[in-house]
Amino acid sequence: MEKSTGRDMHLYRFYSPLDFLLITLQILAVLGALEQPAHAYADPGSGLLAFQILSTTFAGFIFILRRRVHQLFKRMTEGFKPKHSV
Amino acid sequence: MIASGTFRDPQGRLYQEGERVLREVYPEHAEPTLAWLRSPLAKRWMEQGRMVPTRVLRAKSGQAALLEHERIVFPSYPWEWTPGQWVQAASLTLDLCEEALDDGLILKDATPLNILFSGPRPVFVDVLSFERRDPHSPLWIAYAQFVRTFLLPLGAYVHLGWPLAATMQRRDGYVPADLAPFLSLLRRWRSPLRSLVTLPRLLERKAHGGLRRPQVSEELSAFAVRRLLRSTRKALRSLTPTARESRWSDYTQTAAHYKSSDHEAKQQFVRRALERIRPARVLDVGANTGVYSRIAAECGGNVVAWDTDVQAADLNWRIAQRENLPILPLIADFARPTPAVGWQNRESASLLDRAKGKFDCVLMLGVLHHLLVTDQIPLSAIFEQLGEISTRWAIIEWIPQEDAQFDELCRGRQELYSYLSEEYFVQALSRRFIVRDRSQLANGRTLWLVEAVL
Repeated sequence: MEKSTGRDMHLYRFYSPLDFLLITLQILAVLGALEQPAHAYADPGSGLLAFQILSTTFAGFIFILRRRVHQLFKRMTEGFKPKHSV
Repeated sequence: MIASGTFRDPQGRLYQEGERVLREVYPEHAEPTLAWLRSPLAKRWMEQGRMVPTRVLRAKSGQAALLEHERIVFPSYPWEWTPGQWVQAASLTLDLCEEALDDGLILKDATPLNILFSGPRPVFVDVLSFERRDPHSPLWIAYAQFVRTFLLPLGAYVHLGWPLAATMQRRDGYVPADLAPFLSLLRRWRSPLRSLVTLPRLLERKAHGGLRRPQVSEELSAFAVRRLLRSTRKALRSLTPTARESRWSDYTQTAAHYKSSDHEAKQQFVRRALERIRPARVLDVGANTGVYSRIAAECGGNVVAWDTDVQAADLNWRIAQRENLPILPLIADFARPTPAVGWQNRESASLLDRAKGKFDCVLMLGVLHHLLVTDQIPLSAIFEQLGEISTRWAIIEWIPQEDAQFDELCRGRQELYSYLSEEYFVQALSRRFIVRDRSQLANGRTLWLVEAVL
């Protein structure tokens, strides 16, 4: 049998097998809660449209963020420009 | 195709008149369609061979327009394509959609049924699939259809081993719920299936009852659509199947019953025969990786290559595509041909309906013993079928009972096939064909060039 490394031993010192079981059960419970009940009249393809809307919203955030950062840089570079005398 | 033509598209219908492929565009949609077909973008795609060349036959204001499409040599369906062809068709769909954005257009249908293959190249054939894009909409409305009909079948093939041919059962592809129960937890939460299966499934409940379509600035709309197309292309790349080994994919290299001198003699016979008869359209039955399809193409033939082995057909397609040869490899079985499917069994024609009388020459090399022994089809029935497909020529390889491959296929039932002598072969053949040339290889196999009895 292979000897456990020091790091493994460290892990086992803090977590008992019961802890591992409880964590696993918690993960499974969360995933179980995310599972969908059957909707007899739900359009099974509508989730793809909903996902597209969600990812478009995310794209919108990126778009706005990029624009703000761009404007900020523009303002900063303009601030550093030497002023011309008239 | 149904006699009255296609019926799903509210903008028009496609129908055949003899050998001509015509499309009627209904009056209210005629004007924008004609404007689109006359645009530089459509003309460029037609010249590049990415969209089917189309000419306007009739265009009168207020009336239905009539278009004629250039005929594709052999129409094929996605359930007959190799994995590489699927990816290529999907890639063309995304390319055209992205290029159309620059002209203010967008693809409103994104299904493999809008693609046919001309040789190894995919061609977009549904010219009514483009529409003017709402500049304030950040959505690509055909995205869900693209996922259902391209990405989920590819995902099911790559991750679950479901054959792509199974899509014959699903006109509109798969939905996320079809795949989800069969995916491991890890696969479900890893990219790209997380975005194609898991999250859409979780969002289905939210979507129930209708979704509000957002309206945004033109700049943001263009940014969102291009970003979606980029991520869709990334998903396609990660679902691109890698070539696997199969029973037949390295057959040519490993066929122990063939010495290299026999291979050479066989290739010489086939080349000599093809140079003599110069067929314009060739069908290679049991083409494997396409050694003889390529010889036929080199001799000026436009080749359709059928094989039941997915990997061998895919390799054939890859070589044809790389070398730009007029070869269309398809996954098709001479003994169990693709049936007619769709409404009234008349939307997609059967393999034999499409092949009947369409080839000047049919190659049946190293395939006859499989049809006779494995598929148990009588020799006379095989020649009858061959006579319906070929208008004139056939090159056939006859494998004697003493051949190791024949012996192996018999699986101890040799006495059942003891009647299959060369004399029997010639007798069955002579009812429909006249022998024009014959050559015997050192391994005992014989090659025949035959011509149909008029």
